[in-house]
Amino acid sequence: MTTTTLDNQHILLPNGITSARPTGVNGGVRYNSTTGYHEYYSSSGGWQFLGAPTVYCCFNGLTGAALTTYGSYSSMSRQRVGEYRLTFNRTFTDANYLWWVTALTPVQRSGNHCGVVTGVSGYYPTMASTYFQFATGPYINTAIGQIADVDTGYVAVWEII
Amino acid sequence: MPTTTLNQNLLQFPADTTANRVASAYTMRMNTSYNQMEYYNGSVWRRLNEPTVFVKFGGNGGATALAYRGAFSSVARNGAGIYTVTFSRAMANANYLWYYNCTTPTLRTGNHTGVINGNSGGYLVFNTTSMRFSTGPYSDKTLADADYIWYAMWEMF
Repeated sequence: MTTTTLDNQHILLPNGITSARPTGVNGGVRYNSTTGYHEYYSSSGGWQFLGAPTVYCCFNGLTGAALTTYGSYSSMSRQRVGEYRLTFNRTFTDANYLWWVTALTPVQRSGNHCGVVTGVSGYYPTMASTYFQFATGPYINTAIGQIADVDTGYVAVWEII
Repeated sequence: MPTTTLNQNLLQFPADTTANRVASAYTMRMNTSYNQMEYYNGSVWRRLNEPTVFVKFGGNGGATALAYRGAFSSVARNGAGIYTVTFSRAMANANYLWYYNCTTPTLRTGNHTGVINGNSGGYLVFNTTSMRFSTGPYSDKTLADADYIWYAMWEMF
């Protein structure tokens, strides 16, 4: 166990392995020697590394069930084939943001499923104040029938204030 | 007012809402309105997880910056679907990530959210002070403007 040290050049934060995390308090910061990253605690998102997206979710694309979540996450759902909605646990008030979507897809499915199918009418990414909705499917075929589920999906949103 | 607390296992920064910010250079705090760490750079509050460079701009017929953060200097449209973002300082490190995404009007066909690597002149060009990239449909090799484009770059050092 280490303690915080202050000097004229820097602040040396407490460090320890993941299993040695203390009880979280809002604004608590430490160095995680297991992951090699500084991390902080928030009451709504738990322990997160300092560079983490505002909200992140790894999910099962066939059911929409969340597998791993970070930050301002509330729920994940599969709206219909190849279309998903990530709902936040608070209202995003800022209009500037980045989003990222990628996926794993079995080889027997045709096409490239690693992106957002923005060319298909009705399937554009939708960023609302409380959710982000997106679709997956082959890049090269923009027919609605080509929207397709992925096996495992990853989505992250950065809110830029 | 919340204060900084030194514990044996962690350093607890002040945690409070956006409305209760106290601006002072090099200040860091937990914003409980967002539940994220933020710092004050002497003029504005920034989040710790922001990219090195961020800009949102309109790409249709020009390149007008609508919002930007970090080491951004300018953005220019070099031709249909080709844009250059210029940084406010030289990026000394060779390791970086880039990201861009865009929206496209429904009357245009195809997907405009990626790199048109098959088009001569549309390749990515990364210099120490700028980055050039292109947008257009995936399904062919034409270049086409997007209405709104989000660009971000992370310098890894």
